[in-house]
Amino acid sequence: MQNFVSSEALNDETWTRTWQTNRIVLLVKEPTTLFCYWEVNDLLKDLISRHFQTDWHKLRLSVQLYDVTWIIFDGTNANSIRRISVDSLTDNWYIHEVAPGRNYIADFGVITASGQFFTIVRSNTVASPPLAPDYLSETARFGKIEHYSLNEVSDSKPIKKASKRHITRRTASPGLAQRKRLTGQFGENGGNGQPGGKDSTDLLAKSDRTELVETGEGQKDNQETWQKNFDGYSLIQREGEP
Amino acid sequence: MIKGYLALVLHAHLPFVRHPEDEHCLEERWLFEGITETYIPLLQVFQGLVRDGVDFHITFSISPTLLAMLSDKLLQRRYLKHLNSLIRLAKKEQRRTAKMPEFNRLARMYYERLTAEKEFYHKYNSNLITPFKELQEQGVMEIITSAATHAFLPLVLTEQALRAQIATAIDQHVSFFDRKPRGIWLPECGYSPKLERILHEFGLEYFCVDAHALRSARPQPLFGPLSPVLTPAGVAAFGRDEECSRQVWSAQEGYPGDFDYREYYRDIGFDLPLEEVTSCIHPDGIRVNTGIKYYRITGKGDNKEPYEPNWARDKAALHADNFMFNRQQQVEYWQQRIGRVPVVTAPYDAELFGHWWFEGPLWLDILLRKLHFDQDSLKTITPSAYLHLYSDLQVCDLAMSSWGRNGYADVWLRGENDWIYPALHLAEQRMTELADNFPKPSTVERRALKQAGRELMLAQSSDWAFTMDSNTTVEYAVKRTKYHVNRFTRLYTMLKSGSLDEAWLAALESVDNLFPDLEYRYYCSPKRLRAARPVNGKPRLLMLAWEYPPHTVGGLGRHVFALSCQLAEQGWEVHVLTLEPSLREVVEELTPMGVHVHRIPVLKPDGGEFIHWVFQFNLMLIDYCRKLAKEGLRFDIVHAHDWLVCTAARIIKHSYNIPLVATIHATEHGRNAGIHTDLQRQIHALEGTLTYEAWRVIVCSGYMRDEVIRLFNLPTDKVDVIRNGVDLDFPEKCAGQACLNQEPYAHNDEKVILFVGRLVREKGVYTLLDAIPRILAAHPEAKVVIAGTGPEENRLKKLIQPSIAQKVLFTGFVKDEERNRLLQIAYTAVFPSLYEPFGIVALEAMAAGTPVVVSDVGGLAEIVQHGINGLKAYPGDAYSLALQVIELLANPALARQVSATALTEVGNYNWSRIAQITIGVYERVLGEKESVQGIGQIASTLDCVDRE
Repeated sequence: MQNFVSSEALNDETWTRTWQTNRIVLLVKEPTTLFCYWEVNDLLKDLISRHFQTDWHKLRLSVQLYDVTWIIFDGTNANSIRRISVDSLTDNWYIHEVAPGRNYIADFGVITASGQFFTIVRSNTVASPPLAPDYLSETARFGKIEHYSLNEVSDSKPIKKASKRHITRRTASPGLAQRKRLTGQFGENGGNGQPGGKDSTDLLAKSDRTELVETGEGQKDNQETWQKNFDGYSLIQREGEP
Repeated sequence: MIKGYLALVLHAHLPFVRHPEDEHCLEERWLFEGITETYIPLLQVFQGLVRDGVDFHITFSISPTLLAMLSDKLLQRRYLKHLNSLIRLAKKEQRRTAKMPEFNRLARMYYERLTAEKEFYHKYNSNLITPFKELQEQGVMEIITSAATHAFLPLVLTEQALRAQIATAIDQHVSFFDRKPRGIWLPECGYSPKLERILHEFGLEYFCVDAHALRSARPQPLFGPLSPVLTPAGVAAFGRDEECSRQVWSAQEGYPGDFDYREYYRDIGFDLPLEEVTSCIHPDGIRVNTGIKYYRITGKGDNKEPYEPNWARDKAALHADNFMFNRQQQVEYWQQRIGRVPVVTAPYDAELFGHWWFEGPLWLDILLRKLHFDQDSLKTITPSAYLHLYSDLQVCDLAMSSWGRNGYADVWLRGENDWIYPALHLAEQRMTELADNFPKPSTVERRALKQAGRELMLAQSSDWAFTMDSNTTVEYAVKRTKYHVNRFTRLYTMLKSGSLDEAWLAALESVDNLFPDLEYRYYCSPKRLRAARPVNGKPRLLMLAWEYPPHTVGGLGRHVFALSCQLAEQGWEVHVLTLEPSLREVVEELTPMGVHVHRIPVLKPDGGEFIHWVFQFNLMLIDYCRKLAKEGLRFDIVHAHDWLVCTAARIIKHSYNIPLVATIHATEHGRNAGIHTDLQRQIHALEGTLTYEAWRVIVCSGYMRDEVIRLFNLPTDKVDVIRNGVDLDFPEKCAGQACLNQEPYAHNDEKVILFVGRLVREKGVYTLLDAIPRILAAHPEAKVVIAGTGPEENRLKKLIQPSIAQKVLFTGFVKDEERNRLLQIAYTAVFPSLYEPFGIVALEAMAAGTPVVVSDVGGLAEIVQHGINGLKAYPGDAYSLALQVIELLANPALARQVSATALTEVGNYNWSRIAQITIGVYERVLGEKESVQGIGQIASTLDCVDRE
């Protein structure tokens, strides 16, 4: 049966970036760098262009990154919001300088004529890993229990000795320092492990497009305003309102 | 006395490289080199230790892709061929170097090694899994598994895809080793918190993380780096010891860089003239490593001296000694501090030993012998044995981490390889969709589903992204990613469209043939699957309405509620999609009346303006419908109520090819006596679109029919009039007014003139206010009660003269039962509307047995015949209104007569009848669809495939 199937039929090297799906996906690259990619399908692009009466490529598109640590995010209560303007041909972004040890959600959306954000797609939640503390805790410490007979309790000497011996930081590891004969060959800096610097050129090129925006309060107020006038069909005009 | 343990963990892995079509495939040599230089030498070392009675314990992870290749007949045959040609080369080399003693003895060494390996390979019938299994059964080796195709798990998106990677690996492991693995090697030490529950679910006891994962764990591990911690689900995490890594791993600073060790980069495959090595390199003349290398590292420069095996052996012994000594010091230091026996976890890539570090197996051999014979403070242990020493461990949260550069995902997620994830993640989701949608596949469908799982997993191998980052053989990695994604996508499309190319599938199965028993159901989502058609053959209706009780603002919700209940009663399966006003998740319920209600919240931020909010609500409806469709739900009709759901109705109609019926309850033009603002224009346009897109338009009165036909230029025969209904069940009205307590609205000797409705201009409340003085002049016992609230409330209150203030009451918002009580106690109810599509509240008053005075407008004009079932006044004419009210007050007999007539007529306005007529409209539409769309069904199926 294999004879009928050419290897070209198996080995298809074509590729696409557009799958006609609607999504934004957030991934963790490092404690301070996230990556997101997004796609909006033609149908939704068309709906949005019609609604905002603007060609898709002329819309003010943005990615909004929300810090949602310790909250149940409802779209309005983020701890902080960072807005990144993107153009219609961009479909992914490295978000640098995020805080380690926090939870994030990203939206891809449109800025309305009045400057407010309109969500098109929302991402998964990710947690940026926390960095290891520079020092190790000194509060947690184990000591050997010294067992004295009762009449020795008043004697301060052994206690002093005990405390001296057991106050140790948990930083040093012996090993290398102990035996010198091979040290010439092993340096202190390992090639693996420590989180290091990030792509600084990337950072410079993109940072001017990001801005911090205030938390969702403004939008909330606005919504309450129109809700008062909504009678179940459309908005009622009140006296004195345009 | 034992002061500590050493857990040596070797991780053997190669990506699945099997190319039946290419006998000289360069990438298959990765496997051949691994076997020759690492796997057999290590097996020989361990067997030697067992033979000599050395007590040792080692943990060996063998990745499922490697197991698949080691057990593959084709690759076994090819390996033997490869080994034979190497042996021939080594033989030839002995002749060539006959006059070069410093190389000749090395050539002889290689020849002897290779022939011994061939013997070893034959002894096990070409299957190296057998000796591994032997070692495990002898109790010196614990074999653990890894992710099925070595996916970098932190970058896998869905839980199902993660579960499939783990579960498939375990299944395959059991099939080879007859027991479940107790631990797992997470590829690249890539851990993410979403993994731990899955690891626990499959009974895995432990995994390894890099050192910084423990350092940054929360809370801080109190026992430091030399004790495992437990994740919240109870899986143990062993932290890689940094010093062990550095000393062994680093080519520059670690042992392998010693000048006396063999130089990896001086291979005769590159060094010798082409004709000398032709037999062993690629037929196209591409030079490759042969594994025969004659030089030692010598120094940092280019000058290389011949290899001296004895010097290297001495160094290996020295390094083993140094390694042991450092570990002894380390455990002694920690043992004193944590009150437990510490464990140093030293994980390495197995291929480091032998392949990259030629003397690695020897070093390991000497180390394990020294540990056994020379001392008794440090003992080797497997992680699972260590876990049995203690009954508790500290529980910590571990964050995402890996052992790659910078410690996280930097290697696998960067400009060179980030382009693969959109495709991989979509494939994950599609695989789940397939698994969900084929609960009972045919034989060939099952084969395709399994192959789809294989292709997805092969595409997920971390090796491709890794290779793209490292800039070697990038082209191959790119190709492999594309092949597997495209093979998957083709299988997906074939399965969805029901047109499987069996020959193609068979060809694919013979190429990517790993995991023969793959269980594609691991990809199933926990969601229940919905029946595409209702089991009882009921037709299925999708109703879109922005409000549904208990959440109501206007009258629309009440209408949709009553209609949906009656439709369900009359044999339709009704799904109402409506708004969830709070910000929680989607709520789905089956009401006691048998209606499926799906309440959908609106995603925020929504632009902060009413019109954007409505649009966002429509996007949510579209999204949710797509979800229902993906779960298998199919609808016969979509019925939309008013412009607020217009966009969703239009898209759903076209996307799923189902006819649309729309009810227009009111128009923006009628409500505002024209279109004056931008917002009104937008709403007016959406109303137009909705009536245009609908197959049938339903309105509640002849008046409304004329209005929509006029406003939207509809063909006359497209509009159906179905009057609204009332289903209020009032107790029989008492003969005398006195038996009803009118407090607190009026004294019991007063006659209540009731207005109920929103306080907006169109309801004509101003006309009523103008009429009050005249009514009171004639009948001082009258009391006007205005029930309801609205934007005009304050202005209306200001218009009340102090002289009549006692006789006019604004109740504000009243609840349903209060409203009903008011309707009943009223002497008369007045509805002086200027615009009224239907006027359901007038019907309700009639049902309550209260005589009504209405303005001769819209639906009200159609319900009431003057002097028969109520009285009529000219709209906007206070004098006319007052006259009619006075007439009723003066003539109780007339009042009784019209209210009695009205009560009998109200019976015609019941929801059961309305539902019947509505079903008639649906059936007419379905009939028309049948006749115009013979091939529509096929088109719609294809359409759904395209729209994923």
